[in-house]
Amino acid sequence: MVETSIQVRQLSKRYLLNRQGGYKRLTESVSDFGRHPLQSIKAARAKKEIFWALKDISFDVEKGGVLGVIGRNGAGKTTLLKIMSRITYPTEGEVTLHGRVGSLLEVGTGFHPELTGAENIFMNGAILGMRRREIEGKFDEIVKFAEIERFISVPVKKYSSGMYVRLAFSVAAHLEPEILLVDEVLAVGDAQFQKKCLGKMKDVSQSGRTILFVSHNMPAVQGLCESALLLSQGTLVMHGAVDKVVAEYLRTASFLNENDLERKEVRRRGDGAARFVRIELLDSQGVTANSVTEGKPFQIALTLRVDSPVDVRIISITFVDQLGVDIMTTMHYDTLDISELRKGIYKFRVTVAPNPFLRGTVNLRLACFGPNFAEYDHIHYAFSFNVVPDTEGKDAILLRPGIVNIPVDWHLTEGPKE
Amino acid sequence: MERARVPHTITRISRPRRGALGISLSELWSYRDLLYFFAWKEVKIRYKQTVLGGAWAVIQPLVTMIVFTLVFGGLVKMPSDGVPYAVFSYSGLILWTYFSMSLAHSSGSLLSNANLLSKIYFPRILLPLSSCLVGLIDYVIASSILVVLLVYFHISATAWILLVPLPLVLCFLLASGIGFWLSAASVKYRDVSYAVPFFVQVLLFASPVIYPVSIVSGRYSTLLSLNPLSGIMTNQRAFILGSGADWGSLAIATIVTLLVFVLGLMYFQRYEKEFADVI
Repeated sequence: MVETSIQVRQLSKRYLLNRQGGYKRLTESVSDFGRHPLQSIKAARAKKEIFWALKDISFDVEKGGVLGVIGRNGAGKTTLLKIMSRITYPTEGEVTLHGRVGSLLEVGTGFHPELTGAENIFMNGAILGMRRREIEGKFDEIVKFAEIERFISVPVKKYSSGMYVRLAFSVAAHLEPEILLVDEVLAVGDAQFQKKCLGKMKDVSQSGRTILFVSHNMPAVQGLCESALLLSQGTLVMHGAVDKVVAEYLRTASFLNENDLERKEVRRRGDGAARFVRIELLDSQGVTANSVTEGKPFQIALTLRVDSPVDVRIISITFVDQLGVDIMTTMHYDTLDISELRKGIYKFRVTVAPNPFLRGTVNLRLACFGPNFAEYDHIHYAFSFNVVPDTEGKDAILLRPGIVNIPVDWHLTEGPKE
Repeated sequence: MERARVPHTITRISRPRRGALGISLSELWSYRDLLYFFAWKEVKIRYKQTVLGGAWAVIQPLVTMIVFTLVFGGLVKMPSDGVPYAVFSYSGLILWTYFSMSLAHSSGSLLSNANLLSKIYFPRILLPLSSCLVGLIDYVIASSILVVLLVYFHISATAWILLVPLPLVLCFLLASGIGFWLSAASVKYRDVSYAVPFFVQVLLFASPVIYPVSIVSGRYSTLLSLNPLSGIMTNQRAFILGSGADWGSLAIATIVTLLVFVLGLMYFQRYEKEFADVI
């Protein structure tokens, strides 16, 4: 009989979206009402907006199984992991975990810059749920794996970021729980260390432990997991053999190439005083596209709807890479001088020339703010496009290392004399 | 790697039920090392990059005592039940310093560890609890000056001094109970961080730290006796000076303190599962 390690039944998580941030001052609601009675009623109504981060998820993982969890940013992967780690609690449904759970949502949680490497090993180990004796027993192993023997009694604030990450992962890797929950930790560190981490996780899985691995790194998921879950907008789309699920993910990954921002699946915040209604990507020929070429210019056409006169201070587009890291943000006031907008439809054309992004997927986040960062509209994943290599360019076969490529001048100033 | 066989643990996670006081002592016990490390980290970090280091634990109550002795003992001629005012005020101030520091640290303990709360599971109560434990070290350090004062003023200790830990434990429970409540409330209402220093300041004058209970009369004395700090301060001073216990006020202080502790704990438990969603 196969032993079950993780049981998830009809799991749902509901969030009530707040207007701005999660907390409030006691008097804030009162004074808001005093100043802007109508707006605050509108805001209070908007506050009741319900958002299901997870909806009716059920699956089992058997003991020793390695399950990958994939999906777009905002699909509910992290929420799932946070519930299983008991950081947040479900609104409906239940999770049953058989065995000691270790979760690794972030590398180096609880590290304190003033403490030395050795002190942080103990601190971090204890936070992750290790007993003191256990840490003492594994101390040398942890230090060796992290390759920081010489710096062990130096405060970690003096560490390079690479050393910091190595130490943090090393502590977590030696946790040896029966169920390991890992979120995107391989996004940090250099390629060589990533390989080492992946190897360590493979060891862990081969010793009969259950692993749940959330990642955007498809090769890593395929290398480590036997099966995978595909989440989309909080629902479980597919659960099966890893290669099939990854293929499905890649096939549907372009679902964000939808130009209409009024469609209901778009998750947004803000009071809607100004609202993005449409976004379009135009390639170097000015034709609507889903992908752009490395080094070639492209444009973004943005439509904003204003229902009543509004004071707009920031309209921004943030380019986000596939790991969810912000690459850059462009603001309308960089080149455009407008703020008081009358009722109507506004169309913007944003030209990026040349395209600085290297091949891969780029996500767009849109935001529109008023005075004091009053949030009019904020769409975290508004659109995404692919950057493809320029088949006629010099980089056609070369994968240029980096995230962006900015035009740089090279001059030869000296060479051997003829 | 050899590892002791851990018993088969089953964790069930579902929607938290309101009103259930489900504190798991066995779980707290299994996390005792973390409690130690939280406290240890506080101690390690607190006096980093300071020149005077641990001496700060002494300087604070000592300087306050000197100022109060000059003002209240010298100028105002505050009665101090027949003991030198310096000894009188210092014996109250070391406990008061412990109480007020514990409150300040524990009430902010969740907010200052917001990152931990949203990234990892551990019994949340360890944070305010460890804040209240750390201050005990400062209390012990500051007590050394008290010994010096007793010797200087030729006051000899009696067997009563063995009971000094009793009001200290009550003070710890009181500070923890209020700390649980304030820290949990601060997650939702940031007002707490503004209110605490003010609250502490008012409480200093509403507690017999720098004045004896004997100067308060009439209905105010009934009110004062309901303040658990009243019994705690009075008895700690009496134990130190060997003048015997005031069992009545000690009993009231014990009852009120336990009540505050349990209510604080219940409030904390009721909201702790929402911390990560709100913070």
